[in-house]
Order: sequence, then structure tokens, then C-alpha cells
Amino acid sequence: MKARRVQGVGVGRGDSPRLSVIWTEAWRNVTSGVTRALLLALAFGLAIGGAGVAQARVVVDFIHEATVFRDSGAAIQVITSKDQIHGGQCDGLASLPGILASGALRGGPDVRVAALPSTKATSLEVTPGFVEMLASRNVAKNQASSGVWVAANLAERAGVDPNRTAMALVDGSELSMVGTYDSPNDGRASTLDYVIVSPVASDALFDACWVFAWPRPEAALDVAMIVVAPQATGPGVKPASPIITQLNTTHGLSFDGPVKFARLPLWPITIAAVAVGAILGFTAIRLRRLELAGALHAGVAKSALTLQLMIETAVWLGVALIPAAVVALEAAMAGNTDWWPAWWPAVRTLALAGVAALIGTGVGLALTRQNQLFRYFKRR
Amino acid sequence: MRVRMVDVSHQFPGTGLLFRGLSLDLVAGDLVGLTGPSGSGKSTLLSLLAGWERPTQGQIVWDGVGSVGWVFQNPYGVPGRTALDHVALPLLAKGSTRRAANEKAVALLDRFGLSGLAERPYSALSGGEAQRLMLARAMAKSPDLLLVDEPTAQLDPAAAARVDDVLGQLANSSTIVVVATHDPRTAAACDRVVDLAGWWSGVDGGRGLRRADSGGGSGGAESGPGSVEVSE
Repeated sequence: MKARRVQGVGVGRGDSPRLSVIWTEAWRNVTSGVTRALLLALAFGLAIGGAGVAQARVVVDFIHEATVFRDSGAAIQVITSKDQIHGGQCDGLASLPGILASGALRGGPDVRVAALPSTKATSLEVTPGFVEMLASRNVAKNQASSGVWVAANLAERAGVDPNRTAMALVDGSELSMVGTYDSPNDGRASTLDYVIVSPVASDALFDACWVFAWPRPEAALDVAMIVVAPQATGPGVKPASPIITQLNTTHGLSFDGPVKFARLPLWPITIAAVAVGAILGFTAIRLRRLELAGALHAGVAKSALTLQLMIETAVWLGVALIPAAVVALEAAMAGNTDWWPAWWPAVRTLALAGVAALIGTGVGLALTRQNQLFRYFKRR
Repeated sequence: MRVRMVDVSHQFPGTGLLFRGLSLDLVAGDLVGLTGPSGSGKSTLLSLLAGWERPTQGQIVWDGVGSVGWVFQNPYGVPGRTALDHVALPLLAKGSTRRAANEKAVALLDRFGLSGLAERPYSALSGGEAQRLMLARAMAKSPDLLLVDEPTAQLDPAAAARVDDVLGQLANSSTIVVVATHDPRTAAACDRVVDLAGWWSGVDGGRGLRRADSGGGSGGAESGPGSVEVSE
């Protein structure tokens, strides 16, 4: 025959402490060291802050890789079809989604600069769209409102000051100059090296169309045929067969940002951080199970004790999370201007780890039972 | 208010029988000592009375028992909290204001010989003070049944004597108090003593139940085969 319970032996009377009491009990536990708030905040801050910093740096490295790819000209597709590229159509590509700039160019007359009389400098005639693409890069512009752009390396060799608005030619005339542009030796095609770029109207045929597409450089391929002039195809005329090349292949043929981003080890770090948060929250409660079972035995309602422990956990979480978030922000901003995409995964991880710690706290208390008090006591 | 154990036997898995056919009747105001050597089942009997363990056989009936208080052999307070905090907690848990809880807690501390120690952290209390604090905390809950396990086992004679004094004050209260103890002085503070020494944990059927070979009478509330030795 088993024990028969006539009334709820060992069960509290169902009263609950006042909210103000719950709050002050939590606060007293924190300030008296019962919560071990400093130790837990330190452990949580180091572990989860470290995870946040790691994530921020992973994203910063990704952004750096993407920026290098983009700024090296690797995101520029060159559609070449001599005298068959419609300048207006090429410039118009820039209005399409995912295409940041576009412009057409063709060979122009050679130019003899007075400072280099024995050298013929190549000139290129470009559409306004190309000028915009050029001007968005590393340039030194002077006060002139119109004129040619001179490659920085040519200007340096010819001793031309970028601030001067005119460049002397061998025949004694002057060429109005807007400024110089940089054409770094970073593996990109040398099309713009030692060249004078002259803006012309776009309603003509050109030799090539440069399409700067980002973040999907291959988007340029989808619209390549648009720029081939329609009058170049037709009965008896050999169809245009444009060649599409990448301006710079040093950093690979493509950069699939979304796929690369998805492969970053962000979620494994987040999962590890969440696990650490949950374990810390749970362990903090398990270490106090005798005390907590005693409180339950003293009549404290489990709901009240849950709220009290959540407050205590929230305190050490707050102490840890705020500096961790600041440190992660520092990591996201170090050597990186686009800090939000690098900070956001870290913030998300910090928040999820905090929630996990609260859940760990709840689970820890849920597994703490008044009727285990004797066992906890014996095992302490 | 009454607790009746009727023909209770208990055995942990893989171990011998602790006791068999134990019957006991407890009413409000009882201060009952449980004595016997280590392993005789004193703590287990307390667990059964608390309802935290179920007897292998037999019946335990709690009639009008709403809450149970436990005081262990070693106090288990919270080191960073004060004596007052410990005693006030059960009162706060019932919804008292802090002021009211503190007033009652101070009164309880006085009653248990802890005057002037209200603001002392638990970690700064002596063993005897901590044990009396645990008794005060248990009584703050106003339990119907108070179970005290070896309260003086870890104390020096002077501290043990003070705890015994406090236990003696609990007799004839509205609470049923059961004290498991090795200490004859603590047992002497009780108004009844149940000696488990004679209850053999055997596996040989009914022969395992034998009356303690003591000189005392059997004038307790129960008698006959399977009952426990009770001395007044």
C-alpha cells in the first residue's frame, strides 16, 4: 500500500511575494554576491564578447575582400565590339538595377604633349557615362568645367600639374584639362594607362562598353547584347559578336557575394555562443540549487522565484552585454567604414546568447524541486 | 492535525530493508525524538514523513497537515545574506510587507536566542547560531510538521545545549516536531522518544521485526507487533 496524502503536505500555501519584494530580493542577491553576478558577467562577456568580435572581424574581412575585388576593376565587365557599341545604350545601362555605372569608349587621335615631344600619347573618346565612372574613382580634379582627363602616370611623366586647367601640346596649342585619374598597376587591363580621355557625345558608335555591376558583377552579362548597335545586324551584315572580358582577373573571375557571405562561419559562432549562454545560465542556477530548493521549501512560489532569478540574470547579462556590444562595434569599425553589416551579426549573437542564458536560468530552476532538497543537501 | 504511519516498511533499491511494519501516531504539540544508530533509517523516516519519499509498503496519512519544515544536520544558509533575511524570507513569500516580515523575523530571532545578530551575514554566524537560525527560519513558515535532522551533530556541547533549549520550547506548540538525533541530551529535550535501534533491517520475513531490548515500557500511542518502541 502506498502513502496516502490527505492534504497537500509539503506544498506552500499559494501566496506570492509582492513585486517590490521580488525586485529587492533579486537586487540584494546581486549586491551581496549571492548571484555571482561579476563572475558570470566576466565569463559571459569574455566568451560572448569574443564571439561577437570574431563575427565582426569575419564580416570585416569579407567586406575588405569584396571592396578589393570591386575597387580593382574586377567588377567591371568590358563588352568589346569595334564600332558596334551604341554609346547611348551603354550609358543607359547604369539606370538598370545592380549596375552602378557604365560608359563606352573608342580610340581617339594620338596626342603629342609638349613635355614629351617624342612620345605619342594615346587618347580615348568616351561617353559621359564613362566620365562619371572615371570621376567616381581616385581622381584629382581642378577648376575647369570641361576638358580631358589625363592618366596620373602620364601627367607625372610629362610633369603636368593636375591643378592646371590646360596642357600644352607640341603644336603650341593647349588642351583644356579637367584633372587626372589614377590607373593603379593592380592587375587590371592597361587600357587607361598613359592615356588622355576625351569626353564626347554618346549618340555614336564606340568600340567597347564598360559595365560596373555590383554586388553581382555577372549582371553585366545579362544585358551585354543591349549595347550592340541594332543597325550592325541585318541581312548581309555579319552579326556582331561582342567579346566580354573582365577588366581585372587577378582576384578571380567572379565574386558571388551572397554565396560567400552565406559560407562565412557566422552561424557556427552564434550557435556556440548560444550554447555558452545557456550553459552559463543553467550552471549559475544549478550551483544554487540547495539555496533555491530551500527558498521553495520556505514557501516562495516558483513563479516568483523565476521572476527574481530572471532579474538577477538580466543584471549580469546587462553588465556583460553592453561592453561586449561596444567592443564588437570597435571591431566592426576597425579598418572598415561599412560597420553596420559587420556589427549586426555580432549584436544578433549577443542578443541570442542573452536569451539563451535566460532560458538556461528558467530550465535550471524548473529542474530544481523542493522535494529534492534532502538530496541536494546530501550531495552538497 | 495528525500524522499516522500505519504498518510502514521501506527499502531503497539494492539495499536491505530499513524497517518493516512501523506504525506511529503524531498529533499537534508533539515533540518526538527519533534515535538510533547511523543507518537505522532516521533520516529516511523523516523523508517519509515529509512525503518526499514513498514507503515501499504501508500507509502514511496526513490529516490537516498543510506545510512541512525541514532543518538539516548542517545548516545551509546563503552566505551573503543576513540572519534577518533568512528568517524574513518565508514571511515575505506569504505576501507580507518587508516591514511586517522584518518585525516578525526579529521576534523569532529573539525567541531562538539570536538577538543582536539580525544584520550579521550568515557566513559570520557560528555553527550553533546558524543551526538556531535554521530553526527560526523553519518556524517562520509556521509549519504544521517540523522535521529536524541531527541538529546538534556538528556542534560543541555549549552550542548543542542552546539548540536543545530551543527545541524544548517547541513542545506543546501547534506544530508536530520530529527530531532525529544521536544525542541523548537532544532526545531528552523531547517529550517522546522513538528508538529505532531495535528495528532490524533484515530480509528474513516477519522475524526482521523485533522489539528493542530496552527497559522502558511500551506506553506509546501504538503497541503490538510491528509497532515501534516508545519511551516516555
